[in-house]
Amino acid sequence: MKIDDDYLDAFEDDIVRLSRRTYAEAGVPMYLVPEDLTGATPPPEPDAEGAALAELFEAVTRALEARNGPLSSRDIAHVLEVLADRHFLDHPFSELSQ
Amino acid sequence: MILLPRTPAETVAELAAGFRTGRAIHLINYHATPSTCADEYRAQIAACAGRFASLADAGIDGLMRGKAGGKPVLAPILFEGFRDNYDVILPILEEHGFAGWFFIPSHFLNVPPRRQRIFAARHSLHYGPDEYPGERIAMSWDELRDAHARGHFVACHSRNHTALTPDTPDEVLHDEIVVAKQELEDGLGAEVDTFCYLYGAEFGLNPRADELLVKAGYRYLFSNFRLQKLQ
Repeated sequence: MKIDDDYLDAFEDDIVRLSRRTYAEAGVPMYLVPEDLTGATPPPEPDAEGAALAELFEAVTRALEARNGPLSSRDIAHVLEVLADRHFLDHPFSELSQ
Repeated sequence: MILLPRTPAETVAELAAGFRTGRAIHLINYHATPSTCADEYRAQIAACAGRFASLADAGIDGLMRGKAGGKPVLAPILFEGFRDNYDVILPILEEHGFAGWFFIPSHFLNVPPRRQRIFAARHSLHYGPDEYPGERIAMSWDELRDAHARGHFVACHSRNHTALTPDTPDEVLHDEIVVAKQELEDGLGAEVDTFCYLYGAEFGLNPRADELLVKAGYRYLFSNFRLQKLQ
């Protein structure tokens, strides 16, 4: 997946906008990844929707790294917050904020 | 401050592999939930109704699978044990059929009401508009027991809202992991098997902490980027 400059500019604008939320009172959508350290969970079937999310996540992080240099853990959190804001609903979740 | 046991590049690769399985977990993180924001919370939760399955139907193992009945599972997380979680957002969640997940720093609920605001200020518990002047701002144990009895989940968010670092002393780890679990279970009257540090450190950051989590009997660890099943 190719991330062009316009997409990345808009993505960074969303990072800035969302990071200005009052986290102490806002509802913040977020993705987590499950990890079974017991090894008891059977490998899941391939999932097209999951593959699309993974591809977008990797492409955006690659593009941000190319533009800004090595990512920090905070950068990863910002990317996940924007993806969750854009994809939880069929419109940006943050549109529901005051 | 997000501390990871591996490099950011390694973390990105691991998270992408996790997303690829289609088991991404959908959370909404809340902290204080003042009544001044009730309309906003109602709109958010209403928009999620129908699109997501409730944690109540799926349980934490359903959350680990990411989906239940073909729908992604939604876990509204209510951090810190503020009284307005019980008064304001809990009825909204129930109105739309969602179970909430209360992440409780156990000692906060035992702090006398007169001391709760300074405790919050000193322990990074961010409390906004004061809706209960002269009264407690933490949930009571009765309220937490009531929420649990109504089908909501309870997890331990350390004892004093404490962050984990690689060099956190042993006595602090014991207090924040082991004593916290006992204190929360004593107040709740039920077992608690899920833990989350302030700032969401994950398994692997501090082996001494990892060992205590397992010995204490926790089965799940929430962190910034993962939900890890420990045992």
